[in-house]
Formats: sequence, structure tokens, C-alpha cells
Amino acid sequence: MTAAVGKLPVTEDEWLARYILRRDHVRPDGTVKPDPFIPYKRVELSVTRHIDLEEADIWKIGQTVANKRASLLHGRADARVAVFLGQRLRVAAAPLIDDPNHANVLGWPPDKQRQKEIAVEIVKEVHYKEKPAATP
Amino acid sequence: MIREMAASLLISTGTVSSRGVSDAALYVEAMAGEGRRRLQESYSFGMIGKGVFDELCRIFEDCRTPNWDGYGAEAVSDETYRWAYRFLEALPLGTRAPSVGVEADGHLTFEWYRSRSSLLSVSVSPEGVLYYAALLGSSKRSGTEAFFGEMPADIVSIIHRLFPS
Repeated sequence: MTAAVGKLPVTEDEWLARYILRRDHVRPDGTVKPDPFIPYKRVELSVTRHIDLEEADIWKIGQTVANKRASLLHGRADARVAVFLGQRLRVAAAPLIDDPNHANVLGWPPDKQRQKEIAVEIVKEVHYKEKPAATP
Repeated sequence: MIREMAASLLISTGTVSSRGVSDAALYVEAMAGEGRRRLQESYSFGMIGKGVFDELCRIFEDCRTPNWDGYGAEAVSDETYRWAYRFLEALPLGTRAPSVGVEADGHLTFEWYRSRSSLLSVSVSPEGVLYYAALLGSSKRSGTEAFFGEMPADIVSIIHRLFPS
């Protein structure tokens, strides 16, 4: 994990993680609801790029996100960049001090109905991974 | 007899929408309200019996402060909770229970899910606006409706299509 990652262009076959901090965002069958893929009112969605990270590093960043909220990290929803591009969104690196792999999914329509239409399509392609018991 | 008729009407339509002013009409309305409350408490017909109201309350309490998701989410407001509560109350009795959720913009959600390509997600805003999107196999439905206490027909028809009784 290096700060240089933030300068690498985002490619469509890269994997992105959206950390899941709420149990009710995961369905009983282990799939993810569209809810965590609705962007904020500023119309961007925070994700973490897998590039240059070991599996343990990806979880470590997720734990940092959860700690900021004093919340539990339940898991992460992984999707390729191509899934977002397929919905006419774009992904831009947006490195943070404690997460050089941070990126934003941009280009969301401001209209909530359209956001929901996109989110239900995205989660069809998302892979959920539950947090391993030994996460630091 | 009148009470049985009112309950039957509630099960089939979800609400009694007529607003009569005669004594008989007011009596029917009062009985319908009482019948509906009782049926809501039953496991078979009502959302109270199925625990959905409890789930809604738990999520609301959990997300009343901003940044509940660690990514800067908006708080769920009292108004959003009230509209979501009324939405549940307005579902036709006997409707399959949705799961409750929350979104980063502070909206509460209800989801009816069969599979990744067969689902309905409804968001409730602080202004009482419903935003919904459904995947129904090869077709899609979506919409935006102002909620005034009566369940939009399109949402009911999507739920019935997902879970035919």
C-alpha cells in the first residue's frame, strides 16, 4: 500500500470494495442490497481500489473506516470498475491520508429514482465477502 | 356483520378510502380502523406480528445521527421515520413482509426480494416521497410517487407480481 497508487489510472478490470457496516445491507442469502450503493447528496460513492493491496490490507482499511464510526465491519461488496462504467458512471482515484487506494464513483444523476435504477443493476454484479474472523 | 365486511374490504384493498359523514359511515370507518389494528397485530396478516415495525424502529434509532455509515451519511429524520411507518401501515393486509434498510442520503427503505433479478426496492424520503425501482426478470419498473397515506397501485401490483398469492 503506497501513496503512488493514487496516481495510477483506474482501469476497467480493477476491483473495488465498498465496505459494509450494517448487517441490514446484506440479505439472508449473502447478496447485497442496493442501499449501500446509493450515493450521498453530493452524488459520489466512496470505494477502495484493490490494486496493490493484499487481502489483509483491504480488510485493514475497512476496519479503519468502521473504527471512525465506532461501528462493526460486517464485510465488503466487491465489484469491477466495469460494472460502474456499464451504468455510465466513472471512477476516479481520490487518495486519502489513511487510504491511498480510496476512489470515488462519480457521474451519478441527481435524481433519486435514477440512482435507485442504477443501484439495483449494480448489485446484480456485486460479490459480497463477509469479514473473516481474524481481521486485525 | 359490518365489522366482518370492513375487515374483508381491508384485506382486499388495504384501506377504506371513502370518507362518509353519516353515522353509519363513521361507524364503519371506526370499526375498520379497529379491525385493521387487530389484523396488523396478527402474524398472518399484519406487519406488527411479523416484526417489521420493530425492525424499522431499530434502524431509525441506529441512524439518527449523521455519518452512521462511516462515509458521511445523512441522519434519518423523524419525518422520514413517520412516513416510513405510515407506508407500512398502508400496505394491504396479508402482504409479504419487506426487509427494512437505510440509505446514505437518510432515506429508509423497504425491499421485497426473490432473487438478484427479481426484486422491488422502495425508498421513503423526509418529504414523504416514494422512490422505487424493480427488476422483474427481463423487465424493469421504476417510479416516484408522493405518498399521502394510501399505497400507490403500481407498488402493490409489483409486490403481487413478485409474490403472487
